[in-house]
Amino acid sequence: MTDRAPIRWLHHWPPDGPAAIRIGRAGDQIIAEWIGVATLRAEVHGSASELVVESGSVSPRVKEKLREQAAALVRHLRGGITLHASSVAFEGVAIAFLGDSYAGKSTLAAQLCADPRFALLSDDAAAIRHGDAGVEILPTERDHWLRPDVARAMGLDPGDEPKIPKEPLRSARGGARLRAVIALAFDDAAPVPTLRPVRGAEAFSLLSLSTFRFAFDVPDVLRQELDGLAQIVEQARFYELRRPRDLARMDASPRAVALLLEDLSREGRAP
Amino acid sequence: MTTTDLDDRFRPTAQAHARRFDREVVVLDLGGGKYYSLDEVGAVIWEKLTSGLSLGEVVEQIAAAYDVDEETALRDARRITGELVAAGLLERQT
Repeated sequence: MTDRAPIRWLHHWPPDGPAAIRIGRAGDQIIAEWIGVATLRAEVHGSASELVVESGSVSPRVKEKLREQAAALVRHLRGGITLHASSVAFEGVAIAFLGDSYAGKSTLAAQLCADPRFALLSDDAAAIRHGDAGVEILPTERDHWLRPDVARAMGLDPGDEPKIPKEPLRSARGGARLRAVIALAFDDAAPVPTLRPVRGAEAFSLLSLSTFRFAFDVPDVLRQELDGLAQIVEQARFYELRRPRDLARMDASPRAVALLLEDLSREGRAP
Repeated sequence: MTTTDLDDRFRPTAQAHARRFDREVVVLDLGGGKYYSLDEVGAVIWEKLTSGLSLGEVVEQIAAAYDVDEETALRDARRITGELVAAGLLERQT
């Protein structure tokens, strides 16, 4: 990993305004730079990678997040898919929650995991495995990370931290078959949480916008990405959950999701 | 693409990888990672053109299937074909 060819930047995020993360190519290496924070360099197919964190400035929590994100990016180079999603397992069935930052992904997973029937698979990065039995989510994270207002609503002391860890009652020990994907959206006009089925290209669009991507010009990696995402669309049910933002009414969303999961679990057991 | 003839035939380029999702088709540019989503009519145009039909044959079939006049079908087919060629996903057969 000593080659230092000039970097050609290919992609940056967010798409508007100053970049926080950018991805580029330098010879046979692909580079991700969290600007001013850390740099990841990896061989094109992920055979070797190196994450360098700028000295001094980041907390252990940020370092952990950087390692998780770097692992998701390297998985992409190896043909794997990681979704920017929280996810939980229920009786062997997995459900993933997609959404923009602050859409409530961690909150909903934490609410469900307050029930011992649910186990946490991921808080932020859901690793997908395509196996003989279908599409699974593998466990990747041990804690929920909650915003201070959500932590307070759940009876935790948020202190001064921007995100507060909360241990679930149970963490998943193995993969669970992905049966449902829910895109989260706030809608203050919605009197109750509403689940709308989503199909086809709309479901694909939700997934592709939530995928950790590192290779933008490596054809076999991109081909595997489209085929892998298509397999998820074929095998899982997709919904959009619209619900009011009001934290005082936050218990209604997990009830709606739990009912859906119970239905899916029953379907899975049916002969 | 500046002009298209009704006899023109097209094929997907090496950097195009497509999948159908119900009535729509998503085409991925393997050279830059960008996804292009084609609606129902765009999906039919893509699939018929990449199966080897000429532009004129596609227009006839679209007009019949969607009960639109051939002028409208031709305008749509030319626009979509032009966009796909410009994106490097479709190329004219020689």
